[in-house]
Amino acid sequence: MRSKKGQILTLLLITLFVFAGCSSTVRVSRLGEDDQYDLSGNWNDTDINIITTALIKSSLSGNWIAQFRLHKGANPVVVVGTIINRSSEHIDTSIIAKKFEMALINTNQVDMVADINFREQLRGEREEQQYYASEETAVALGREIGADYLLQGAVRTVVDQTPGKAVRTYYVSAELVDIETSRKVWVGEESVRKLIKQAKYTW
Amino acid sequence: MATTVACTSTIDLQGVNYNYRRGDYWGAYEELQALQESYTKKQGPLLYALDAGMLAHYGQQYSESNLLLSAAERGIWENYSESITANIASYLVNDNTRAYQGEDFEDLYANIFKALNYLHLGEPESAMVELRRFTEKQQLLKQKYLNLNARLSNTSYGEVVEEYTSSQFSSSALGFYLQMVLARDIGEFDTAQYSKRALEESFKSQKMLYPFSIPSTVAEDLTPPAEREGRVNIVAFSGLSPYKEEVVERLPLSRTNYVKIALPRMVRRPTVIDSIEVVVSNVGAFKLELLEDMGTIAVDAFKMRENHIYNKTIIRALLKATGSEIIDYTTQYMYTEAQCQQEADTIAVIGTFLSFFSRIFSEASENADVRGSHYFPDKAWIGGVTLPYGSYDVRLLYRNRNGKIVYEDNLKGLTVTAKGLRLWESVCPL
Repeated sequence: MRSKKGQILTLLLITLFVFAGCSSTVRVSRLGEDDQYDLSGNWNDTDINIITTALIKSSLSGNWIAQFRLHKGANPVVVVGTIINRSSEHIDTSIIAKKFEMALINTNQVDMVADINFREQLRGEREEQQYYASEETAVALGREIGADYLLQGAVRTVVDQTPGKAVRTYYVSAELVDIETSRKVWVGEESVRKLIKQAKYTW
Repeated sequence: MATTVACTSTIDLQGVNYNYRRGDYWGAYEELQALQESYTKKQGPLLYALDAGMLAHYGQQYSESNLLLSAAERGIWENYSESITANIASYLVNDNTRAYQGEDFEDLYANIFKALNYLHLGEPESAMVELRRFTEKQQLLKQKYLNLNARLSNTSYGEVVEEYTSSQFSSSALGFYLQMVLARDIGEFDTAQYSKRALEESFKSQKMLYPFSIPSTVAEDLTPPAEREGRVNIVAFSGLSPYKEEVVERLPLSRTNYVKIALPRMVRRPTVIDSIEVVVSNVGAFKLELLEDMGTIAVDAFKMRENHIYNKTIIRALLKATGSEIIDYTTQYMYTEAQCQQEADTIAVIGTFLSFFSRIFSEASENADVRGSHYFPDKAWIGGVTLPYGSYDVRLLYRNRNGKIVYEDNLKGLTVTAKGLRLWESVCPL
């Protein structure tokens, strides 16, 4: 009887070890779009969503689109400039710019032209086509659409901290500037405040 | 067990140091990479990342250096949360049971060298991010000192307030200088002006750490140059930051028992460099001036923790010695109370064994925590010159106290243009 119990226990132990050996140390699970996870307190996807949603709403509620369409009878053309990172974190600001671009273009009331870096590529391609593409298929030169407005912005951070605790505020500003007159037709700023606590002791 | 706890965590870096001293930073970096497994096992990934990150920087592997120094920075941040079990163990065994948390100067200077890495990679915006992060850390350090001072005055009795031996380093002139030059070069003049004022304040408010005058170039660096000319700045590093060594004292408690106290001490490795001359091709020569004595700052920043380490070591050493004393006393008591000679003999044998074991454990386990990075520099020097646009070769002549050139660094094909960064860097291992 005792030896049978012993055998079962040994078997259970072996099974446990086998399973423990097979289990992977990396686990991945898919997250929903609305799930919010903050692991380090640094700038993350949730901040991007909060900021861009608010800024886009603010820019679309301004009357610059309606004014332009009223006076010129056409959609305003916007070019995305630079969103400068003046924060204390390495932030890829091109995500903010791209989200802005997508939102504006999807209104069908704003036309967008390629940004400065991409335009250089396009110009190179157009010039090459003049030499290497057939006459019928080569695109014409000098037919770029000039932008009416330039979108630019900046990300800044302010940190108030003591050891183990910090309040980190991100200020993201954006503005649309009339390229011809340098007049600002819309300025918006949104902020995200985070309280980051770090335990002094842990198990 | 005693053998296990006595296991030394020091690592042999002779090969790395040999290459480093010759100025073969790439070779030193490769040597260290070969030691990665044993290094990480003995001293943890944080210290490896700091050392490898610095050597990669000197060896001009800037992207790699950034990855390593970022890993080190993250490690310091994560290790702020101490394990309770490891902390308890540190009261029973020694401080090496705790994860290395990094010294304040290591945390700060990691950002400085990351900023320099980004500068070499032609990413001024990212370099500025690092310098802003550096400023934030300085503010945190200031806050830390304020909390500490408040705690000290709260715990003082009557008129007696415990004096703090550290001069409380919390503002690096080197960091502000880099910020000033970088901000100037990317057209952020307000930031450049602010950084210049902050640099001057660093000298004014921390006279113990900056007992020399502000380098003369600072006064001229923000003056707009003439047309088709640009202000160029040079930052040079020499020597190696201090290392920690163990100081052991044995104090007798009784005729048969003693307390072993093992404390870490910062030991300077001062640079032999006394002056640095910069020779610019077809232009002339000028001297660099001392901006920051990083070795002094490292020692000073360590002083902040010295009291805590000392108190903890005393408590731990006394606990261990008391343990041995209790074993001796109990053995003696039980021996005299024994019912027969055989029982007394058994008690004596077991007691002697336990007492011996306790003393061995106490002696072997009481080790100071001498972990620390090895390759931060000892001194930072700066200089500036206004040059017409063009390409230049630069020789940096490092001289010792007798004026003898002991090291030479040649920087070739450096350009001065209307736009772009104009901060050049040189490193001397001596």
